[in-house]
Amino acid sequence: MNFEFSEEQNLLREQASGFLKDHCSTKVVRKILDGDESYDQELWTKVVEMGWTATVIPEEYDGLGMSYLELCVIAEELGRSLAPLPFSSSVYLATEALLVAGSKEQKEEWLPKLASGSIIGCLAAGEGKGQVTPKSLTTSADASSLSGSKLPVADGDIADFAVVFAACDSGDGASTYLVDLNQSSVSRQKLDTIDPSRSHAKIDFAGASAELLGKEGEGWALLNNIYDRAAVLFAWEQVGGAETALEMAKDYAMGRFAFGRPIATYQAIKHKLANMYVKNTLAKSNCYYGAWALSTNAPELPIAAATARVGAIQAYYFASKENIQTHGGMGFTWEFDCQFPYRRSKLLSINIGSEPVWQEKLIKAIETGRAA
Amino acid sequence: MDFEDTAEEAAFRKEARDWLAANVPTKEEKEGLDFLAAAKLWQKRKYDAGWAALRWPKEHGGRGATAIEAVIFGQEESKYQMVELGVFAIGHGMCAPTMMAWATEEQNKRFIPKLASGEEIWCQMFSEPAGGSDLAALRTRGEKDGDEWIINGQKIWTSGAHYADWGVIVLRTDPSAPKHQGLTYFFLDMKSPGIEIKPIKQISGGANFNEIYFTDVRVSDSQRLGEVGQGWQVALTTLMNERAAIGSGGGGVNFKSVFKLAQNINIDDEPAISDKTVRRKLADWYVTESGLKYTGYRSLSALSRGEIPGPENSIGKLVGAPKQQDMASFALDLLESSGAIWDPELSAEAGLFQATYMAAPGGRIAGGTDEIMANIVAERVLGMPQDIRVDKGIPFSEIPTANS
Amino acid sequence: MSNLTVNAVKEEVRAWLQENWDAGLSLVEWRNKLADSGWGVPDWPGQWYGRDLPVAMLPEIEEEFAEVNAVGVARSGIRMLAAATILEHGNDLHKKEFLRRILTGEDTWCQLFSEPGSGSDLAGATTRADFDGENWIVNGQKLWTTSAHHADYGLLLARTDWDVPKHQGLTYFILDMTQPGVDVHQVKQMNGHASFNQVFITDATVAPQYRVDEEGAGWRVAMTTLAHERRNADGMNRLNRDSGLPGAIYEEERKEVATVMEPYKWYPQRAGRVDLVMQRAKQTGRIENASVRQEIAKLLIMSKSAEWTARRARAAQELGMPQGPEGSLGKLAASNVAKQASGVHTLISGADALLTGSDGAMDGLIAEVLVSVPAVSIAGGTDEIQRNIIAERVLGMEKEPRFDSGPFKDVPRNVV
Repeated sequence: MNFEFSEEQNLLREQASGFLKDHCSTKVVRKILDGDESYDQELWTKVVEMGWTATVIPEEYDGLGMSYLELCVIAEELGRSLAPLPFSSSVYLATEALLVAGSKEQKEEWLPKLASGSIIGCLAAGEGKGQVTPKSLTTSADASSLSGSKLPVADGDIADFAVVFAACDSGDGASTYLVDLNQSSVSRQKLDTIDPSRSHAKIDFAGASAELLGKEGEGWALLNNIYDRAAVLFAWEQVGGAETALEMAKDYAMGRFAFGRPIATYQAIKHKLANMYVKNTLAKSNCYYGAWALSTNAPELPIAAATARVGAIQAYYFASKENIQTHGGMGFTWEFDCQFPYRRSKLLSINIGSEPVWQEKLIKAIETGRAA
Repeated sequence: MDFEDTAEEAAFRKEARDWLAANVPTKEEKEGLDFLAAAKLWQKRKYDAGWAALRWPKEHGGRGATAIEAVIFGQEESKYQMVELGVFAIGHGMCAPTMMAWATEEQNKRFIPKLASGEEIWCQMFSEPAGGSDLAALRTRGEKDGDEWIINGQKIWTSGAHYADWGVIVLRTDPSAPKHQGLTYFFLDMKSPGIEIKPIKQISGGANFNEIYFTDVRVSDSQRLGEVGQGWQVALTTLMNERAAIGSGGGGVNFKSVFKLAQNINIDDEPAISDKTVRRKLADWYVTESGLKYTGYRSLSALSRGEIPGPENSIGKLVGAPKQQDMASFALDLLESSGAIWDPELSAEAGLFQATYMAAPGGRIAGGTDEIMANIVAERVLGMPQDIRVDKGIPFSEIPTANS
Repeated sequence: MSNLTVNAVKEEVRAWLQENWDAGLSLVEWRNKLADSGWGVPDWPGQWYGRDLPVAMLPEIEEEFAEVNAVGVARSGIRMLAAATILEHGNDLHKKEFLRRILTGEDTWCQLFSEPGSGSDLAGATTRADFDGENWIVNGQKLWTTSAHHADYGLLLARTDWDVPKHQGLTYFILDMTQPGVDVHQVKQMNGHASFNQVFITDATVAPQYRVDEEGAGWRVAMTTLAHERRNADGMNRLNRDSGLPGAIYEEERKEVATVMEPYKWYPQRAGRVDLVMQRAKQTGRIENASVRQEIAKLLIMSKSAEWTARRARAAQELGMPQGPEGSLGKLAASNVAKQASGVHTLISGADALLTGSDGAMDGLIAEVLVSVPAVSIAGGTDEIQRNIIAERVLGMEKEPRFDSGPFKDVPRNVV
């Protein structure tokens, strides 16, 4: 049994965590939350220099060719530091889409640039109201031109290209396109969201030139595959964030006095934090399973991904709200940092399908698994 | 990251598996034997072949195996589902480690091999009616009389006392000292005159625990472990091993059984499994069960590397027990009014859901209540301060108590 | 109270209104008439602007006011808590100087109890007042003060004796908020609103005659203020009612209410917007989903049972029964309802819930629910404190052992 990260991977974790402690304090998060910038460009440049965007891209496309376990380590630390970066859009979603479905030419064109961080990618699936399904898609495309509106698109305002899902009459009802966002038939508008430390946009395509990614009529299957893979990585970010929330709550409880004693001595507070720890630990163990499934391309990936995702959603939400509660009134002020994990936890829990969607996916995967 | 054994582990597993296949008692061999006799038969056989008490040193009748080897053997052995193994859990898991740490060389030579071979069964007598979670509040008296001590009082929740040969016990030997300082630890012969054992019937109908009454029971001072007044430190050795010995338990309702039920029972003329609410609940339980499983794998990985597992394994009971209760309760809801029937012939899964529903409250209490387990996580794992104690430094005789 | 008396009072007020109500008066002119006649606060003592009538009579009298659209006395904000406290603990000088201008709305009040270092533990206040032979000199910080930025006076709880146990060393004062030593800042919450103030007090002075009750009696006086605060919850409803009538006096009243209500405009979101749940579920079609239906059912059951509990409490109060533990029960129930509602809204809206502004669900209202709900389990006493109150005062369980009963100067506390 070796259900643990290797020494090298743990070394990478230490390095990442040290780096983010130095360069991504909550002050950095606050700067983006309060200001007009969409992300921290300085931090992004450094992250790119460290090669994080190139982690799983094969060496033949100028990547580092490392495994998904390394990427999970980085995801956890990025989540822990609440980094205001387009990392998830560009790496977990856009890069994954190309790795899974790109032709050789497409990979050659886009992957080296993604690896070097000279471009940022994003994924545009949602169209506003409720869950995305092939039936709900109104964005349409013919051979090379795409029209419709997408919102919210994470990092859509700053990305250079988007992986766009459009309705299709054949196959599973959807097709996937690569669209350069720097063209005149694309207009974008920044959106206000519950987590302004991560930017989102509405993108309007008016006959934009587009290139098919993967086969026509296989878009829905591709989206689900990308989501399964990204779910594991997001889950690691979520668990990292949940551990931050617990850490914040603990530090505060140890130093805050009420009725002549630290509030950390009250069982109401201790049990609250113990429950956070329990949820975080279970979620993290499920993330290990997800990491293993992702890194070995195991057939269990859909089950492992959904398990990791559901556990991480619940743990992060719980830790982030109970962290505010532990802080009392000060926790609800703009001045304190408790709002960051609270905002981020909700953002990450509804961005690639919400809790009920993934609970459903899990049971469906178990049903098919058992039937097979 | 992988789930595979290392080469050495794989070799050990194969050896264990082969030996088990050839030696696990057959139905015929067990024919006519009661629970206890069957347990002893199997334990003795393991002992004779060097497969008993794997972690113990060879000179004490063990195998001197590594932690991961012990786990591997346990995994293989558990495939045979021999429920009678539980007979030795307290003696092997709690009493033996305490003896090895605190008894004399001579005593260990006398007792440990017989513990390993299963010839002698041990029990543990700490809990009392008046002090549940607060173990150190115990009041059973030990009074010195020459080279002996005289025991008077009552213990409760003792597993296996009715068939145990020996037992460990903590007594209050100085009521004028603060409560953790007035305790002394002994081991004694369960057949000593003055010991009366009564089974306790639980709400689940079973009787796994006993009450024990002590009337002028005599124990030799040579059977004292640790110094007089040092009983609490000795008890800690026992308790640290308790959660390992009890574990989260394998039986009862699990995801699989509720999932199967949901496939086979209808809501509004459709299989319950097609109901969104049912699906969401099942998903959550699957996630929890999976989290526990992989948390266990993380601990095993640490063992496999020769490291001590992190604190994450302390949560099993805290999570597992309430989950079983909720799942059983939900299964009974799915069964509608037929859920009330508890009859192996008529009930789904031979009454598994009803049995778990009735046993679960005990699971959330035995071996540390949910609340105490949460305290342990907060204090030992997160490093939060202990509760402010109002009984510290006060002579035990002056601490307020409820009347028992 | 007999029907005869009710009818007699109703007739009397009707006649008085017929004679005196004039929508052409200014708000202050009219309210002075109310103060002089005692019809503005008929349950107050006859000596102080009232008529000594029982509380149960008020709805009957209000009915008569409503009949002719007559405006009432100023009731918004902290002023009625100030009035109740002064009526019970103040001396004649306080009553003479402050009560009338409270009723006319000319003076605005705020409450200076909470501090950065003492939230749940109100009696742990460390703002100090020292007597210099002539005046009380006040130094310290107060937090969570609503409307301090436009208040004329503050109800101040300050420590005057550090050598006695904490509840005994507090004294209650009336603080002039317009003096130079009082510095008011707004506190922005994580939902973006700024409903509260932080008040920095540096060498502010209080003349000796503005001490309320005895030195060291501050906690007892503060309990009166707090009891009225808890009882006042439904006073809000009256304020939300807009007469909608044309005319200068109504316009003046509307302005007054708007100023006072400004900090509370996100409160409906904080409470979870249960009212929008069915509408949203139908609009989005999510009402068809079995698990959404179950969660809505759970929410409506919680919300209804909270409502019925509150009604039982109100009915008991109207019958003149002493206030029970309903305050804590109600508050805890409201917190649970809000959290469940927030969950249901997320379930209904999905990713749509994350957008604020005009792109979001209901113009971002749902997103505002999500970021506002955490406040409901903290403000006015955390859920944990409410559970303690229920355990101790309702169920009669013992209090936790105390470690802060010695001289306050020796009690471990937060350093701010």
